[in-house]
Amino acid sequence: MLFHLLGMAEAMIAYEPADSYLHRIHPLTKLALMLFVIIAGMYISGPTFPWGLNMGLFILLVIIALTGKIPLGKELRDRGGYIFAIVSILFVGNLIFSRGVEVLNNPNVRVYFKIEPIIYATSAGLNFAISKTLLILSSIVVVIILLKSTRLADLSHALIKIGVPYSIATIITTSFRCVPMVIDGLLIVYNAERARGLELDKGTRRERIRQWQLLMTPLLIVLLKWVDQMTIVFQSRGLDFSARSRTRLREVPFRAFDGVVISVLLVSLISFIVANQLGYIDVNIY
Amino acid sequence: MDNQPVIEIDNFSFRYKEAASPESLALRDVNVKVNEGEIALILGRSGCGKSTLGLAVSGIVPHLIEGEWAGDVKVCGSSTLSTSMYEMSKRVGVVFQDPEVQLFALTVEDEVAMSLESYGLPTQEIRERVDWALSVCGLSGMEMRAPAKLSGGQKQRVAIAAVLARDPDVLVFDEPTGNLDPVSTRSVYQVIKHICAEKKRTVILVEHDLAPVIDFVSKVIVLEEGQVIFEGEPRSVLSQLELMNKTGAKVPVATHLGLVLENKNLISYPQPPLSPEETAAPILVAINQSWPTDKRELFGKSESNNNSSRIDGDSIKPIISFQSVTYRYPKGQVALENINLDIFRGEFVGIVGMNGAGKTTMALHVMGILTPTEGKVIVNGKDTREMSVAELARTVGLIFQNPNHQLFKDNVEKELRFGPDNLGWDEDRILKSMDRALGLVGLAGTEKMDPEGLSTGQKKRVAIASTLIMDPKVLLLDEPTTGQDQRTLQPILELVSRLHSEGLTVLMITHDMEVAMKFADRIVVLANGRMIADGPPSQIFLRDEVLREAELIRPELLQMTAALNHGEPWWVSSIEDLERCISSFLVPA
Repeated sequence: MLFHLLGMAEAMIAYEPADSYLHRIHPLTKLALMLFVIIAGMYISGPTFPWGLNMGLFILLVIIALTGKIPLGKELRDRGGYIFAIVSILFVGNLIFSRGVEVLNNPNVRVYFKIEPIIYATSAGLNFAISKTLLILSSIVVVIILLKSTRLADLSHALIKIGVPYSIATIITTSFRCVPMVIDGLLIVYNAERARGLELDKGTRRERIRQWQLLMTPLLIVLLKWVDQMTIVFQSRGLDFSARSRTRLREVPFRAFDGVVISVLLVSLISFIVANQLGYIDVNIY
Repeated sequence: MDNQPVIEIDNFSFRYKEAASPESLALRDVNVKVNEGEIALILGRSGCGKSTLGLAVSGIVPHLIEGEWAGDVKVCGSSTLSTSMYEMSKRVGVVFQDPEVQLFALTVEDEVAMSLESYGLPTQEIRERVDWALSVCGLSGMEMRAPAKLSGGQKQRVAIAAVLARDPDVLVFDEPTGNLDPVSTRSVYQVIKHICAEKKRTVILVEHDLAPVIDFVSKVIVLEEGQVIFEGEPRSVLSQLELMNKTGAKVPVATHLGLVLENKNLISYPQPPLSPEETAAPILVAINQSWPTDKRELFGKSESNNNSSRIDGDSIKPIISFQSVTYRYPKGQVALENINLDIFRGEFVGIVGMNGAGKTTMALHVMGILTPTEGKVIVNGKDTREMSVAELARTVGLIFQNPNHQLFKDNVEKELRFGPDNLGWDEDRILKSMDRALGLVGLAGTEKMDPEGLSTGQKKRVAIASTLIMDPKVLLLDEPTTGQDQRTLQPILELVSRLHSEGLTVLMITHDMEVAMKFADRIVVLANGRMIADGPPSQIFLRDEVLREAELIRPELLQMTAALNHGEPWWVSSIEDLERCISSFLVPA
């Protein structure tokens, strides 16, 4: 299970080269899109808010991804099971636990079934569950858009351009490199210990915890040794965190298009927030 | 200009911070000069200070690895001690043995460009240098590949490209091919040779195996216990077989044979021969270009190793059986394809093939860590799918390539107890088995020692003992020769050979064709996940088409017989046999 999750994480962060407008636009534009979707999506999700808006946002993102040559189908095939499990739990949870006096006392809200005083499956809960599920799906799609169409080095450089310190940006990108490293370390230790009879999935819960401890301590030692060696190699290659001017092999140009998109997203987001504060966005379908 | 020393080491001594005692110096009063364009090969046993010397030249010692030092190390006229690590990185590039710890970026191109970006070079110059370095290292077209997904040889070439792109004055290679198959080793050394010829860079090279490097190094420095005991040109060091034995270096078969024949006054060489052709030339002259009798008779008639000891009673029932085994990774790539193989009790089987051929995948199937996508693997009469981890551990003992990946406890006793504890053995049985296992590997009395403080060879023995304690029927060795000098390696191989002669079935995955040829009585050849040949070494290593398809290099001993027979190799099982046979045809001068 752990190997599978780590393998999935490794595959998810892998850049997929292609010739598309999404691959050409500036990483900051894609970061802005991601923030917009997550923040605005939250504003348009509520028990009394029409789920159609979240559906519209989700469809728009799928269109952006497909026209930008993002392999959404492949991601769905490889990780569909996990995505389905996550959204199912969220959907059911939101459906049966969405309540509140405002909702339950609304005569237009239909109660499908209830187990008082905890579970109420209502038409408002159903609306909220669909909205939240679509928001989670939109967030997954927008993260896939960002990671599959952006080299992490370009993302790191974009972060530096907006003032994030070089050390922080480098730590972020290097930490992605750590995923395959942890998988390798785990495989080494697991195989070594399994070869001497260690079984992780046998025995009582306490025995299993002890067995995992037997795996994790050597893994930590292996990883620390590697990190120690990597630190030496890193510095011997002239890579440190001092504040000198650096150049780039590739400069992803910030075009007028990027400026327009970021401006539109920013204005929309600010409008959402302001409209929400002023009560204009308080739509109630009931 | 050629006589300008680029590296000057004056009375340099160094002791690691964590050294056991004040007397334990890693380097002691070292005085070495290496001129511009020279390639200096550093030889010596494991732990003699070779790597420390390379690290001192790069400035890593003492900037990044702390300790006490005396004397001075100068590179291009500046002391490494007073030059910052950042500046040193522009002058000296280091390539380490393990490519895994040298790669940070998520694409090959970014990896090679990283240092150049840090130096603030113009974008156009970075592009040109990256393209050049990738092309020299044979990596053009792989710019966007993820380094983590490359083969071992490719990863090491990326590490070399990242160093070359910086265009440093000095290059330090610390056993750069330790983890690679013979063809990848050859390709890495071709790159190094090319760089030295084209750019005239000064090189420090640490290596145990002389055959792939001896023809292009300009000088040899031999270290013993941190001190320089010899410095001179390659042929002069090779002529001193006793000194070579001290270093633990693997002397080319051709040189060894030539020197033995010369010591017997049978042949005279103007200087020690380095290649099979150089060794063969005067021998062929002495016998008038052709061997007078039947070749098989001449070379000892052996068709296979005589150490085959299949136990007859069990011979009809294999202890390991691969039955139409195919293994596909979750993403669909085929790692093993329709493998059918029976291994019988008492056999010593060498599994050979290039990096990525499927050798380790096969071993993981034997251990039950992987199960076939199609077909089945039967171990000791049972399908591995139906065997518990404990059952498999009792049947097959796996010895890892790197003992540091197998030993995690803080003393030898705990290390040995780990397996039996998992199997639920009682205390009395554990103690008896521990005594037996430690006795077998010659480490009795080391129970309370920390494995971390042991030598590489001793660690390997602890790893073997921690497996033998469970009394397995099969010993599976993954690359036992990697990163070890001959003096460390020989006792381990002799131990394995002795265990085999006592009835243990041995499976050995190896890149070392000499070792496979010498110890195995059966060779299984893998290429791209398929088993392309299976037979005694005397058949396998003489078949050009098999070696070509598997991208293997013929053992040096058979390269030697090929040179003696106008390109057509004859089987001979050992260098002693070959020397004896040749001697019988030559008259002492």
